[in-house]
Amino acid sequence: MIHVNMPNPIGGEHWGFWIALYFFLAGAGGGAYLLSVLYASESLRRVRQAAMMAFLAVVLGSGLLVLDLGQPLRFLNLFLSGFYPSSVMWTGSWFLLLAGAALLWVFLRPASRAAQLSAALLVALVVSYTAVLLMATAKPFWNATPLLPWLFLASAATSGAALLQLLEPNERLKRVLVAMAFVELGVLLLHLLWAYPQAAASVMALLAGPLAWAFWGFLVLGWALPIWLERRTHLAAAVLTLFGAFLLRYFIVFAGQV
Amino acid sequence: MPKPNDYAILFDASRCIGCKSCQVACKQWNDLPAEQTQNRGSYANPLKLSGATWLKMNFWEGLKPDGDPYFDFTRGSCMHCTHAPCVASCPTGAMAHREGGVVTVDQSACIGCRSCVQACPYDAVHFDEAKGVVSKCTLCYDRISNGDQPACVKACPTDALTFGRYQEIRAVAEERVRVLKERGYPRATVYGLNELGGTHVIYVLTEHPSAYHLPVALKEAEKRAGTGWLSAGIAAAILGAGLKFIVERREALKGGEK
Amino acid sequence: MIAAVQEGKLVNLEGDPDHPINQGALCSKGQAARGFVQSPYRVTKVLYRAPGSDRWEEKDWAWALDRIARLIKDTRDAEWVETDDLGQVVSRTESIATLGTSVGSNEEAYAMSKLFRALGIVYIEHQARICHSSTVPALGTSFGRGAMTNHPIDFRNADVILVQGGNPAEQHPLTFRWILEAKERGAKLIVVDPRFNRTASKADIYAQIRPGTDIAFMGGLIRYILENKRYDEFYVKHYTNAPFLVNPDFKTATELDGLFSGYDPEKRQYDTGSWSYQVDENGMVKKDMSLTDPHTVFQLLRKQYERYTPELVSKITGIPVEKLLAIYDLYSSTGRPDRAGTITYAMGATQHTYGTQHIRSYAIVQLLLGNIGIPGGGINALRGHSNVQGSTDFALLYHDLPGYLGIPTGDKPTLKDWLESKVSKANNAPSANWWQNYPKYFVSLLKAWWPKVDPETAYAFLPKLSPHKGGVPDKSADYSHYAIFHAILEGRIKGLIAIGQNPANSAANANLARKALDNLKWLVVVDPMETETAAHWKRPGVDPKAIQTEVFLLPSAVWAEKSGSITNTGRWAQWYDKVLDPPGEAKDELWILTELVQRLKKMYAEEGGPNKEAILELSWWEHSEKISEEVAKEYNGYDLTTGKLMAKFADLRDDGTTACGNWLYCGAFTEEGNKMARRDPRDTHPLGLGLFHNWAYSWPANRRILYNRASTDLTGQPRNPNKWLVRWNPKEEKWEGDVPDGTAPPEKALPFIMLPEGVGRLFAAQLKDGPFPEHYEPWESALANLISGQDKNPVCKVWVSDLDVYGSPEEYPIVATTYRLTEHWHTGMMSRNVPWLLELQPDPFVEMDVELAKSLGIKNGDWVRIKSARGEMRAVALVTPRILPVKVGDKTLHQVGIVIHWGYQGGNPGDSANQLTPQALDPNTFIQETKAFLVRIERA
Repeated sequence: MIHVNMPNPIGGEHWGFWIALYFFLAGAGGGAYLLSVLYASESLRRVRQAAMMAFLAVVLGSGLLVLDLGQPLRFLNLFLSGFYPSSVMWTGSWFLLLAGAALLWVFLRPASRAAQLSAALLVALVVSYTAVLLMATAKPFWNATPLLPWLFLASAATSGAALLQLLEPNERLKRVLVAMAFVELGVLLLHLLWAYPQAAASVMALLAGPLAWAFWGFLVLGWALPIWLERRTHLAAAVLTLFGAFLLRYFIVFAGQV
Repeated sequence: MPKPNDYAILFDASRCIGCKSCQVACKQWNDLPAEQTQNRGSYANPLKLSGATWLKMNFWEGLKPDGDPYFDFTRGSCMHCTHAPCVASCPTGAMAHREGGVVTVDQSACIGCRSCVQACPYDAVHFDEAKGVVSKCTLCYDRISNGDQPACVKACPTDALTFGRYQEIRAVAEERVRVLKERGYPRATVYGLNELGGTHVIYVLTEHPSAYHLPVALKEAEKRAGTGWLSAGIAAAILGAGLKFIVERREALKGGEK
Repeated sequence: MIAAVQEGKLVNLEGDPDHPINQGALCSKGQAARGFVQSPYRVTKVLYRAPGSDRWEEKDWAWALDRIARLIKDTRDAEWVETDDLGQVVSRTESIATLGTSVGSNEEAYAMSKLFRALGIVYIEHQARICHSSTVPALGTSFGRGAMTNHPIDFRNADVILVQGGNPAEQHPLTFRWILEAKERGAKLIVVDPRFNRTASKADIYAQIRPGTDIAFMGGLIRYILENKRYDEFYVKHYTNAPFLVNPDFKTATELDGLFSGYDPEKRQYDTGSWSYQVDENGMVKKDMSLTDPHTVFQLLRKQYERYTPELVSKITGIPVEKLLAIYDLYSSTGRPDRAGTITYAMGATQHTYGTQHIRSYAIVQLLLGNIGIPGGGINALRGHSNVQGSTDFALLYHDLPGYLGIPTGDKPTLKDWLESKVSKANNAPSANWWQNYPKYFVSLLKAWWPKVDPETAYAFLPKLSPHKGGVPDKSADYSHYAIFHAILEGRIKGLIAIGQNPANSAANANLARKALDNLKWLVVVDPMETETAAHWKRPGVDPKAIQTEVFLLPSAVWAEKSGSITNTGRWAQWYDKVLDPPGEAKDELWILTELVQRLKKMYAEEGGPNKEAILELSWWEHSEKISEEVAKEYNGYDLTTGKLMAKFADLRDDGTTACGNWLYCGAFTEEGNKMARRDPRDTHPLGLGLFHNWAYSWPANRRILYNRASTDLTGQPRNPNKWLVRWNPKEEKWEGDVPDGTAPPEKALPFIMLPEGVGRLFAAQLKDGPFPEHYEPWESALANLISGQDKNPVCKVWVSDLDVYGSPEEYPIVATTYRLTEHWHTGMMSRNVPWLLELQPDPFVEMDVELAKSLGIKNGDWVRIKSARGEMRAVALVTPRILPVKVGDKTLHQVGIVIHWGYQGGNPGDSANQLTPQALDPNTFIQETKAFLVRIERA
C-alpha cells in the first residue's frame, strides 16, 4: 500500500519551546517546594525559601503560558467563561492560580501547617496535571501508557532536589536525587517500550531521529554525568541535572507531536 | 449517539474520484489562503490539514490480490463527533456543540491554547497563525443554517458527498454498504457510527477503516483524562510515601548505628 | 455558475444547481474559478517589449493598437501573394500567422475568423489542431459531422461504456458524474489505458495497454464482432455501407502486408483511385444485400482484420488474452437493439500518427454494433477547452470556414467552380445528401461578411489555399500549426498574433517553438497572463539582447468580464453574462478587434493596398454594451429581404438574399430571442432520457443526439421501444422525441443525412492513410510492428530538421506517454497562476513502475531527469504500482507517464513535457504524436 504522509516537521508543533520551558519551571520549582515540605518542614527558613522559588516558578511559568496563547489578552476567559472540568487545561489553570495564592500564603505564614499542606497539595497538582494534560490528547506517544505522571513527578523530584542542592547541598537531598533519578529513568524506558507499537515514529525520532540530540543529551549529560560528578562537585551536578530535566520535558513535548 | 434530526454528511468512498473539488470549494467559500506545497511523491497536497486547509483528499494505491492495481480516495476533515474531544478539552467553552450536532469554535472567545488541536484524533483542528485562534471545518454552518448545502457537498461532481438529517444519511449509508457487498466488496462498511459517540460525518468505505489509517476503538477525552488523574494520584502517593519511607529508614538505620 | 458580486468585486462563485449537466457541482478548476479571475498574475496594463530589450514597458492602448495595425498592414502588403507558383490567383499573405483561441467566446472566434480571412491570412490555427483535429475527419467521414454524437448526460443511458484514450474522471469530472450514474443503473465500465488512473479506479474491467497500440486493440474487437456475429445485422445492412461493392482493384492491408492499394513510396502517399465504389450508369452505388460478395465492404472488412487474432493483439498490446476476450465479449454484447454501448475518448486517442484512423476504428465498431444514433450510444469525443468546440465550429483553422464549409483552393478561380466542387451528389437512394445545400450556406456567409458586394466579388476577397510560395523543404498546402513554426524558423512568417494560446508550451517539441518565436519580427499576445509565449525573450538560457522580436502583451478580459456564448463538447451553445469589469486596463477581445478593424479600415482607405476592398467592404460592429449580441445575430443570420433574423438554416437561400455567418448556428438567436440563453432545466423527452431542448441551443437545429433516426427501423418505428429516442407518428405525419436528424418522413431519407451515401461508412475512402484503420507502431517505438511488415504509418508527416530529431530504442529504452491532471490546465497559465490550484499539484511529476525505479536507484519523491532525442526535463518521480512493466517476448518494456502542465512562467515554474515530444504527425490533420515516444531517465 503506498500512501505518502510526512511526519510533522520539527518546528511546526502546536506546543513548543515555551510549553516545554513552563513544564520544566513548574517541575523544578514545584518539586523543590514539595521536597522541602516532606523533609525540611521543621526549618521555616527553608520552607519559606522553597515557597518563594515555587511561587516565582508558578508566576514565571504562567506568564510564559499566557504569552504563548494565540490570544494572550483573552487569558481571563480561562476563569470567567464557566466550568469546564473535562478540560485538563481548565482545571490546571485553576490549580496554577490557587497554587500561586497558597504559596504566597506559605511565604507570609510559613509556620501555618494548613498553608504548607494546602500549598503542597496544589503544587503536587500543578506538577502532575501537565502530565494528565498530555495524556488526555490524541497523540499516541502521550496517551499510550499511564506513565507520564510518574515520569513528571520523578523528574520534579530530581530537578527540585537539584535546585535545592544549588542553595544548600546536603546528604539527604543527594540520596533523594539519586533514588528518584533511577525511578525517572526506569519509568522513561518503560514508557518508550510500552508506547512503541502505537507511536513508533515518535520513539524512533527520539532514539535515532531529529530529537536524538535531546534524548541522548538528557541521558548522558543530564542523567549519567551528574550521578558520576556528584561526589566531586554538587554545583556542576545540580546544574547538569536541571539542564537534563529541561531536555526531558523538551523531548517529551516534541516527540508527542512528531 | 447523534440525534436523528442532527445534520450529517455522508462521504461515499466508492463514488469518490479524488478530484479535490471539495477541497477547493471549502477554500473558496471560506476564503482560506493557499499553502506553499511540494510534491513528495503523491497526488495528495497539502499533506496535512492546517489552519488554512480544513479538508483534504487522501490517496491510497497498491495491488489487489488478483494482480490488478487499486487507487482509492478518502476524505480527511473534522468528523463533528458527538463526544468531541476538542470540546471536552476546551478550557473556555469556545469550542462547542451547536445546533444539529455541528462542532465549531467561537473565534471571538478562543484564547488559542491549542488543547483542541492536540485532542483531535483526526488531526482536524489547527492553529491559524494569522488570527491567533484555532480553525477547522464548520460543516458550513453559515450555509446550512440558511437552507443550503455545505460547499464541499455541493461541489462534488460524483455525488460522493451528500448532506441531510442523520437518520436519513445513516440509512443511505447502510443501504449503500449492502449494495456494495452485492457488487463484490465484502469488506464494505460504514465508519463513524460508534467512534466518539458517533460522528456526524460518516464514511462508506470499501475496505476496513484501518486500511485507510482511520482510528478505531477510540477513547473519549474524558476517559483519557480520568486515567491520567488516577495515575497521577497513585504516582504522587507512592512516590511521596516511598521517598519518605526510604530516606527516613536510612536515617533511622544510620541513627541506629550511631 | 452563479457569481456573487458585491460592490464590483467577485465574492463568491459556485455551481448553478439548475444546470442539467453539473447540477451545481463543479470540478476543482471550476471551484477555483474565482481564484482565476482574481489571480495575482493578471496583467492589467498594456506591455511592450522593444527589440533587444530585457524588460517590459507599460504603454497605453492607443499607442499599441496604432503600432500593431501598422505592423499588420506593412507586413501583409510587403509580401502579398496575389498568384502562387502555379499561376493561380490566391490573394493571400504568407507573412502573418494567427493562433488561438479556444477559450474565448463564439462571438470572438467568429470575429477573428472573419477578420483574419478578410486580411488574406492563411496561417490561421488554434488549439483544436493539436488536440482533437483527428476527431473531425474521423467522425466526419464516418457519419457526416465531426463532433461528439451524443452529449454528457446521455452516458447514463448506456449499458457498457468503453473508455480508451481518455481519462474522463480527471478531465471531465462532470461528465464522469453521468458515467457513474450509468454504473448505478447497472452499466459496466471498461477502461483501457497505459496507467491505472482516477477513471480506472471505478472500472469494472481495466486493461493496461502499451502506448501506441490502440488500433491493434480495436482491430481485435472488430474481428471478434465479425467472427462471433455480434453485429446488428439490420443496422449493418441498412444503415452502413457494408453491402456496397468496392472497386475490384482495391486491396486491403492483409493482402499487401500493411499497405493498401495505390501506394507510391517515393511520394509517400496513396493514389486513391482504387478506393472507390462500383457504380451503375446513373452513378448509383452497386450493392449486395446478402453481404457475401467478396467485394462488399463487409467482406473486405473481414479480410482486413483477419490478422488481428486475440493472440497477436495480446502480443502487440501487452494485454493478456483472457482479458482481451472478456472486454470484447462485454462490449460486443451491445450489438443488440436493446443494449447501448458508448465509446468515449480524448487525447489518448487523437494525438498519434494514426489518430484519425484510431477514431475511425471506434466508428466502425459502433456502426457494426448499431450504437450510433441511440441513447447511451454514440461516440463521445470529449473536447477539452471551454470553447474549443465553438472555435472549431467557427473555423479558427486554416483549412476551414465557419460551419465546416472548407476554404477555397487556388484551382477554383470562380464562385461557381468552387460551389460545383462542393455540392455533393447522392450515390445511394434515398439519401438526403444534405451537402447539396452547400451553396446556400456558402453564399449566405459571403453576404454576412461583405453585405454590399455581390457573392462573386466577395468570393475573390477570400484567400485561397494552394502549395506554399517558396517554402522549402515542404511545399505542400500545409498551413497548420507545425508548418507555422517551421515557417517562422525559416523567416517566412514575420508576425504572429497569439490570442489565448501559448505555443511556447502547448505543442510538441517546445524547444523548436521557443526558438522560432525568437525569429519573429513582431509578436502580439492577447492573454490575461504573461505566458511563456509572451515572455520567450527572457526565458532561462537566452540573452534578450540577441532576440529582436517586438512583443506586445495586450491584457485581456476573462469570461466573467464579458458576455457571449461558448459551445461545450456536447454541441450546446450556452450564453453567459458579464458580471464584473476587467481589472486595470484589460479589455475583451471584441473591443480589441474592433479597435484594430477601425484603424485598418482607415489605413487602407487612405493608403490603399492589395485586395483592400476585402477590408473596406468588410462588415463590422460598433463598440457597444450589446456587441456580443450583434455578433451572435450576424452568425445566426438575417433574411435580407425582410431584415428579420433567420429561424432555421433550412430557410437559407443561395441567391444572395440571406446572410448567415455560420449555418450550424442558424436558429441560435432568432426573432424569438437568444436561444443560447434559455435556462429551462426540465427534461423534454417523455421517457426522461436527459434531453433538455429548452436549455441553451444545441447545433444543429437544437438536435441533441445526432443521427437519431438510426434508432428506428425503415418505417420510423423505434427498434428499442423501451428507450425510444425518436419515432414517426404516421397520423400526424411528424416525428416525436428529439429533433429528428432529417425532418423528412422515414422512407424519404436515410439516417446519415450529411453523407452522400445516406448511410454510415465502414469503408471511408476520404482519408489519406486508408479506408480502413491499420495498426502501425508509433514513430518512436521500442518494438517492430508484429501485424505487418510496414512498421510505421506510410503516409504520416514527420518533420525532420536540426531540431526535429528522433531517437532509437537503444538510446531511449523507455516508452513515454503524456497526460493531464484534473487540478491543472494544459500549459498551466490558467491554473499554476491560481494559488488554490497550484497548492494541489505544485510540481511536475513522472509516474513510473516500481521495478524501473529500483533499477535506476530512484525512490518515490526523488527528482529525476527525463531525456528524449529532442530535449530534457526535470520532474518528481512518483513510483507507483499502478503501472506495470510489459513483457513482450523476452523483452521487458517499461512505460512512464509524464505530466504536462509546467513552463518557465507563472507559479512554480518548471519544465514542460513538450520539451520531449516529437513533431511526428497524422497525415490527415497534422496532429502530433505526444502520446507515445521514447525517453531515458536518470536521477537528477
